Amino acid sequence: MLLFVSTSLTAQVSFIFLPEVQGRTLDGLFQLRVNVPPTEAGRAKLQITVTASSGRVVTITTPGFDLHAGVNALPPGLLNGAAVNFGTSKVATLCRQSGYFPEDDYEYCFELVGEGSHAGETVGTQCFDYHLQPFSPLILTSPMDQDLICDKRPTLYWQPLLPSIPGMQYRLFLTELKPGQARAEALRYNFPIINQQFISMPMLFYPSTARELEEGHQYVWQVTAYRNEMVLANSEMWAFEVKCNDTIPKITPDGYRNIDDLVKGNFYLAKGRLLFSLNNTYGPATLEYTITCTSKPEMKIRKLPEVKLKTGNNHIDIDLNDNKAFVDGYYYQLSVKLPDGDKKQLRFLFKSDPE
Amino acid sequence: MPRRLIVVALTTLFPIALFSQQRIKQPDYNSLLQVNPALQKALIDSLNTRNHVAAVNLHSVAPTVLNDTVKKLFYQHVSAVYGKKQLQQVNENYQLFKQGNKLSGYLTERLRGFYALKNEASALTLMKASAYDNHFKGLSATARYDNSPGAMLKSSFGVHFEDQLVIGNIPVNIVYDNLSGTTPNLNDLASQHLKKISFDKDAYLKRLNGYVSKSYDLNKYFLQDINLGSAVKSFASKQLQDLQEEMSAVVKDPLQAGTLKNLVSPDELIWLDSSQIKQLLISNSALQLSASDLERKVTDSINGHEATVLAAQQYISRVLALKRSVVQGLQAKEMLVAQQNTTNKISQQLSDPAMQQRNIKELLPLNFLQKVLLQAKHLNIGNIAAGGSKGGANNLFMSGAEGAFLNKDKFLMLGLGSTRMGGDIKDQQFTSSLDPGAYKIQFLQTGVGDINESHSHVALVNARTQNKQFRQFDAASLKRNIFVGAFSEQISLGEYGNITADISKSNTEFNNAAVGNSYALSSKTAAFGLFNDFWETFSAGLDYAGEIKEAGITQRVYFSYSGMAYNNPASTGGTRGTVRYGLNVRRTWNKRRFMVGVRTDRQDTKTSASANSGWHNRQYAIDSRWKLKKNLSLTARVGQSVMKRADETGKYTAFLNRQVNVGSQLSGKLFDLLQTNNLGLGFQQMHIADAKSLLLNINMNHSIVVNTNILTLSLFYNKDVKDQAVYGNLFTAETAWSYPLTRNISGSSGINYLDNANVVRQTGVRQSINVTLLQRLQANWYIDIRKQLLNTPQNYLFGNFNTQLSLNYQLNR
Repeated sequence: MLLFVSTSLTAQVSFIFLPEVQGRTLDGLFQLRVNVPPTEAGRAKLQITVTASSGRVVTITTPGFDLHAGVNALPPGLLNGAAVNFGTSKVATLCRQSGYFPEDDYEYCFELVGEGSHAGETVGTQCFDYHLQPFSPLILTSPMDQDLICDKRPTLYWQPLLPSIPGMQYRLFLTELKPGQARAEALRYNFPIINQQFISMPMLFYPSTARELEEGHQYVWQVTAYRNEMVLANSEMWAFEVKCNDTIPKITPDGYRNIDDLVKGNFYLAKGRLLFSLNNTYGPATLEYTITCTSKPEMKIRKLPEVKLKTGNNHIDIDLNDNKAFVDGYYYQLSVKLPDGDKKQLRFLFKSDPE
Repeated sequence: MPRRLIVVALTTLFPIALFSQQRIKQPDYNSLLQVNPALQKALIDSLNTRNHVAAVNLHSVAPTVLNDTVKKLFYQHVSAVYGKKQLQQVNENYQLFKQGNKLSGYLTERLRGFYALKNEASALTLMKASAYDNHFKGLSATARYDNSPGAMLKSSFGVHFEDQLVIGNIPVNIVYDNLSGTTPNLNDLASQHLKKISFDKDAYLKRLNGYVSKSYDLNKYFLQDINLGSAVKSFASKQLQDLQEEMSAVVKDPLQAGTLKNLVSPDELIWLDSSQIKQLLISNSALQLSASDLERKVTDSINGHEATVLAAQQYISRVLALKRSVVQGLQAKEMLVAQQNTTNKISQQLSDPAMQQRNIKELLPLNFLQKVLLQAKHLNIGNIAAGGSKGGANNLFMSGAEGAFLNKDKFLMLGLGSTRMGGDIKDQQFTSSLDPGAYKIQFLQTGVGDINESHSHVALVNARTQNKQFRQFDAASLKRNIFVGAFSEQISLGEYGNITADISKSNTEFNNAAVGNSYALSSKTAAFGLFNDFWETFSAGLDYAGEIKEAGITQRVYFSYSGMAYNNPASTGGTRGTVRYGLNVRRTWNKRRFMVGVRTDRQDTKTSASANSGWHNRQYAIDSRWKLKKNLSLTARVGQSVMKRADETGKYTAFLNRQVNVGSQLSGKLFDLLQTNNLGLGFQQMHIADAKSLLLNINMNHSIVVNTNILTLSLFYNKDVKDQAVYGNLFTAETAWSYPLTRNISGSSGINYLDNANVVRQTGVRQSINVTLLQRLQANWYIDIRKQLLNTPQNYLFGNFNTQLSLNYQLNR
């Protein structure tokens, strides 16, 4: 796949060109480097011709620039004055509209033409053959976009950028997405939680020294494929939320009111559960209680959970949600026999707990 | 070609053919009042009696006018709140009205405002008193150090500042961020500022609405306290009485005069139609009229029967005119009643932002800028996210300005700025990119309807590459101009969701360019060649998202196509040469106790101009959750993601990742302690090139609540059963003990162990402390430090020192 052969070599000027990276786009061609022996230093212009199997694709001619002895990168600003001539084939049209070379067998030819004292002379020329296979899209896989996940240290997956070229790696960036914030802004403004480079596989274990993600928070992530210092492709920005469905239900202490007060109020709304407190001056015991349905008295209520009492103040939490006898909107009556023999009755309306 | 035709047919014809859009119309109270003398009279009578300055003028003739004292107060109100210029306009309009002309729309608005005026403190005084304000919203600072070999930033610092400034009653939010850091290889510190100034529309509306409700009684403004039924009837009987008196004076025969005086009762005027009213006249024996009498031309108007005919003709035309205004009045009544029925309460309507906006516009004295901003949806300047529909500018991040406006259902979005692919602190390592690194972009989107609701919009983008250096990042590229023209249509299916269709076309023109044998170089403007190379640079998409509430189903289906040279630098996530389609359906049953979701995303990317070679990406996932009990849930997920490569030699799998995961979440009491347990178990097949791994993943998280403390134990184990080690065999075990120290300090301490077979092995401690220093100031410190028991050069992921200190001062928003 990495088939590039230098086909001709004249003079002593040599061209350093990586078609598998730099041969993908028109702009990439300018990443070329030229190795110039001291004898050939001087002023020259560069002509680049790219030819596909269906004919010439593009010819680019730059203005003249100074060649120094040694390895030369093309001077910045050289692209500004470059003249571009496109071919008429379909490949040329695609390149003219997108700046990308589609899949084909290409010949990339570079020629340096002297200026000044060497005007018109070829200072150096070299061609590279390469079968170019454009990159696959860089697609994120998991956690899926807008997913709810339970894991606070999730492993992140994506699909690789293919064909794989030597030295290509991934960078993963993950940060919090604040409510109302645009993803693109979150990626720039927010402090990264993960900003990891050198990843060679299309996956990343959550870095073990990093802080874990927080329940109820949203996160946005993006993967960049790069080679050395060059960005090859960016994925889309995906977001997910850490929302575990079954966390410990949070009960505020003021959720428990003394049963004496509740009985006096003579009305209680039970949202999925009965919460009350009672004082037990005797030793540990099991609470004796029954519940009857006043909306439908014939209904038998079974399988009520056992409630243990300790000495002192007790916070009682009777979960009614999973008991079929409790119907949303029905009235019930709780009868409690306290360890001291005192009996209390509490009428309540059952409402199923919204999830 | 057939595929292209299908795309065009689907994306253009289908939404248009589906149905034409209907918009709900709000009743226009101004025109309601304008065309209804009955309503005008009711309102003006009420004004005249309001201050008890004069008794009701029962004998005033239509149109009713304000009495002098009330008029003076009205003028005072207009002059104080809206200024002298407006007073003049009011006066002119009022004189015309008094001369019997129709009530002008302008005057109606002012009159309604005056009618609804609550107290003496005018809106203008209130607005002036609190025009300038500053509200500090928050400041936070974070310092972090991470020695992971792959960390892009080794040490980093961040400052985040937020403030709200109110200038001339216009609230503006200011966000300033400073990020700085050092990379592992380059130890010098680099820093970057980001700032965003944005007009806060919500705060603006809230502020102005506050002035409105302080100065005006909106129930009165919406004429809710006028009993229109009785107003119409009293108006009708008054007018009828005047008319009949007048007519009876014209007729000489006393019998006939008496007849005309009592011919039509107010009830008859309201309930009979025009031919029935005529019939009343004809069938009356005293007048001796025939049906033709009412139509014919009168020859002698002085005497006898002819005079009666003339009087009858005048009478009937005036009665019918009166009938018309009564009908309008009754229609107005029906409208108000219907309005009250649908919204139930005017207060509900008052919380609607569109309605609030209208009230503000009508009642408050706003300057030009304030009026413009009332129509703004957002207005941002600085380092901002921007964009509208998919085919135009979309999901863009740029330095520049963008604003969107909506007025009378006409939408306009304008933006300009520059984008770049690198040069940020977080991208410190990257110095160049395969795509052009930077653009200057201008864009526009306009049309009917709001962007998030049903709309038909046109979007245009103009972009030029920028040859610039941004910090370490060099955005050199061949100079070119790109123009994109797009059309976006969204159709609402009501409660069943929305369909969005996008069509987009791009054109690129390089500077100093020529084609073929022509060597005359030119730098064309891309906009002029928008239809060049049509199919290669065309893109279209169709997206449906919605839900069926009764069945607990949510769904999304999408389809998109883009030509191989489609090029839109203002839309991130834009693709070239692809056909994408997918489906995402989720259904819940039994009060959401059971949920199943199916999702597939497919993408075919064509890479060759002539052959059918390309990439085929497929992702599938089926997941389900079953809540057996309040405290027990089971989850299962099967997912597969595959990439195939197709070329002349055939199709082969280049990548495969297949996963089966099951999990459980359980909570309950054990040994009298509340505990929660999350368990996950998974098998995973991963093929990359020749490496084929079969992995076993186990993940367990257990928490125990002990009084006010929580003990957590986490285990993660990953094993390559085939030992191909596509990626490592990793085992981690962590414990943490979270505890409150005092009311304001809480902490968490833990021990970790990590073993990544033959690559790295480490053990260490983790500590975090949360301190509430002041009511609004919090400090947070986190440290994870480990001893390396084994370390190799293959370790790019696991550092052994990570710490973070942050201070956060936050005011309630």
